[in-house]
Amino acid sequence: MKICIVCSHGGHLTEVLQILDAFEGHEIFFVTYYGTRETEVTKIARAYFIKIIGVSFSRMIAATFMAFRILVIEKPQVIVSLGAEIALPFIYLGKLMRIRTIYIESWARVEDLSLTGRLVYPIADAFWVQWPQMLEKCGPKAKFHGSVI
Amino acid sequence: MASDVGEMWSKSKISRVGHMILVTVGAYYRSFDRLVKSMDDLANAIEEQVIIQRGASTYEPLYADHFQFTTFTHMQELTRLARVIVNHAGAGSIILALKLGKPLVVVPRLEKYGEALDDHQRQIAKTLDSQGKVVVVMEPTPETLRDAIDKAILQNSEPIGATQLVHSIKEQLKKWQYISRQAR
Repeated sequence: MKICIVCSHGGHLTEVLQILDAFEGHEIFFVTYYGTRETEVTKIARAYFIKIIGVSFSRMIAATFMAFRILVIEKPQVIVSLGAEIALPFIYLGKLMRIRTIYIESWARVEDLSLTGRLVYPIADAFWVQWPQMLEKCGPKAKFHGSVI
Repeated sequence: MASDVGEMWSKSKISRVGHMILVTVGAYYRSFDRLVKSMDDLANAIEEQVIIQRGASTYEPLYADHFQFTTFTHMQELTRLARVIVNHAGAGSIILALKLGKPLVVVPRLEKYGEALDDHQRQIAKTLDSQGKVVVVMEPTPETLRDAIDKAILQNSEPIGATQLVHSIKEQLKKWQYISRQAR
């Protein structure tokens, strides 16, 4: 299958890199932020880079247009994300475009969900957390299947 | 920035692996002077080399070697060479140190000092501390940091990995692939 891996840079990217073995045998491409790790990512697979969304509404709109373009061009079967806010347009558009989505909450969240997590919970096909004690903080959909480390 | 690290290595006093304390505050755009200054003060009081990745912090160390940002590959190399790591409690930094099995002291960034947008770093720091995987320091001073470093070295654990999660993702993808094929 073709799998779209969406993540912000920094710690979220580091987390994703711990689980790359999970995608053996599938074709992957990345969508992430411009930052200092571009060559590291492109050594692994094709990558799209976009500007950091942060809390900017206008950049979120721009990212949504870009997400639509990317998903139409690439037509992945699955979208995987560990956050952060870059996941939002992809998980929502993925749902509309009937692409399967896995959202895995960051390993840093032990006691409560991130805002991104709360926003994608109703939409993602699979919603996983990385600490068992998180399960009681989320709805019944959330599962614990291990962690990136 | 990468060239600073290169220069640092060529004039490095590191004579063997494990004779250096590495301090990192991550690539985050906010400063963490509280940690940088305390580690610099500690560097003045001890013999061991201290290297500080100070990120966006405004305080410039006087005693420790320091730089602001570098490539991930360089960070990995420095982590490998270090005897012990002192980090902000960011997931990425923690993963780097624990994967290489290094003794780790973590200092959470706190919202009240303007070091982060919220206090979520405390969550992972407290949890890993209670599991004996890191030593957490809430108020970094040369004394608390030195004690934490000693403690971290004593409780040093094995490098760890992501086997269960990798396996679960593989299973989920197989399931979806099977369902898609059945649907055709």
